[in-house]
Amino acid sequence: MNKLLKKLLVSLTVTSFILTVGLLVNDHERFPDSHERFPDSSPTNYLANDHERFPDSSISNT
Amino acid sequence: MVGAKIRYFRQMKGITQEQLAAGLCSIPYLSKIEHGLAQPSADLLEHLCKELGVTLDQVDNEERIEALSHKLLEWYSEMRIRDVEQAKNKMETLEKEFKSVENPELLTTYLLFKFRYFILIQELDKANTLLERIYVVQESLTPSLEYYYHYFLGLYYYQLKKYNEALDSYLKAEKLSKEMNQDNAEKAEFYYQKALVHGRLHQVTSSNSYAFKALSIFNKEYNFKRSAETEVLLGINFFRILNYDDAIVHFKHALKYAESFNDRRLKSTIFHNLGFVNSSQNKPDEALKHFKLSLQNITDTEVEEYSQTIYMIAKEYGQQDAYEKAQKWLKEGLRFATEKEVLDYIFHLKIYKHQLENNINDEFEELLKTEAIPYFSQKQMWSFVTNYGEVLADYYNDLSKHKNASYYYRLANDARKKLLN
Repeated sequence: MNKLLKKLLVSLTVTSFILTVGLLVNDHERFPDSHERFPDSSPTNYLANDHERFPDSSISNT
Repeated sequence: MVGAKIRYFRQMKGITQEQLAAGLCSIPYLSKIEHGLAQPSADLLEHLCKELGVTLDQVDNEERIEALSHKLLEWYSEMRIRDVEQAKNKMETLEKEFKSVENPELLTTYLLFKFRYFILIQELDKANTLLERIYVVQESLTPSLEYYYHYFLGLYYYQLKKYNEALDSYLKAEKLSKEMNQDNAEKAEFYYQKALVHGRLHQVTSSNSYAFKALSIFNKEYNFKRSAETEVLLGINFFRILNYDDAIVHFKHALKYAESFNDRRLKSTIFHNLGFVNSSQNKPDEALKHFKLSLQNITDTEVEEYSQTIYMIAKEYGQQDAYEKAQKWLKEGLRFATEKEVLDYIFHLKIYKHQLENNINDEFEELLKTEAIPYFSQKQMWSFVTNYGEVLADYYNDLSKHKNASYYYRLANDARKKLLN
């Protein structure tokens, strides 16, 4: 019984060690810069939209 | 080979395997013949061909197939650069030559390119009829023909303003294109079309990404007409994210090209869009100058475009409190749009007339509720549903009709979600 308990304690200690190290390692990853300027982040002019005139898709070249 | 031929003509005639096999052989045996897994006896073959009205020849002359394939590709190149005259001439010759062709792959290619041709010349009813015939043989398409099928279907949907369907088709074509050896001209045109549809769907980042890819190839290939059109699209995209300076830079690049080959249609488009940017920048004089230049360059066939620019001019004068001038342009716009049956702009102009005259009354409510909003919803033009939905909701809100107001705010909100996908 004692032996079994010892084994269990050892395996629990090892698991928690791995998890702790794993978590610590995670926080050393380098995240991308949060200061990029995304073109879509500015508000879009919805109300004015769709009165723009698009170029041709498949209409004669002449 | 003969099996594929039997299968093609059976499908084209709308006959099932059961119907063709009746009294001649078993259905599984016919299926094996069609897939090249069984060699029918001369007698059976003769009966099957007779039933389908095709000759017994197992293969068309190889040299002839090669020559016709070459002609088809030439025809496609002409269509890709939108040379309508050449494409028309080639169509007449091909139509005669293909009467005696029985090679299934060649016939399917011809069918697909003919579908592309009717899109080019804007005969969409004829394109639709062909689509039904192509649909029948869709399962037996080779990967490269399947690419053309989805790509052309995308172009067809684009012409019908069914932009979500167009994008779905382009995505299918794009997957297939990875296995193909597309030449640069094909790649660039495909990127351009994809950029257009993303633009229509307000997906600015994707649209820009494809537009820049396309532009770099068009420039290398000296396809300056398309370079100019891509610059217009980039201008619209930058305008939509409120980057007016870059929008103007792209429109001016486009204008340089358009002026160099004096393309009036393109110049009209660019001036309209420049006016649009100026209007948003609150530069009324510049805006009006550009809108009027757009009208000067417009061609007779551009009825929707003409109505659109007049609408913008009326609004511009309205915003400057030049009431009489705004009324004058509204009157002209309504006269023209009604005469030419440009329904979209009949609604835009009528609504604006009410707003300009401050006639925010029962008639205005009816126009929005029973005509304009259902119309733009049905056409999936979500930016207008958002806009007019909010106008109507505000109207109800001012009258303390909160239930109705809530309904239209929600409708506008749902439309905005659709706009953002």
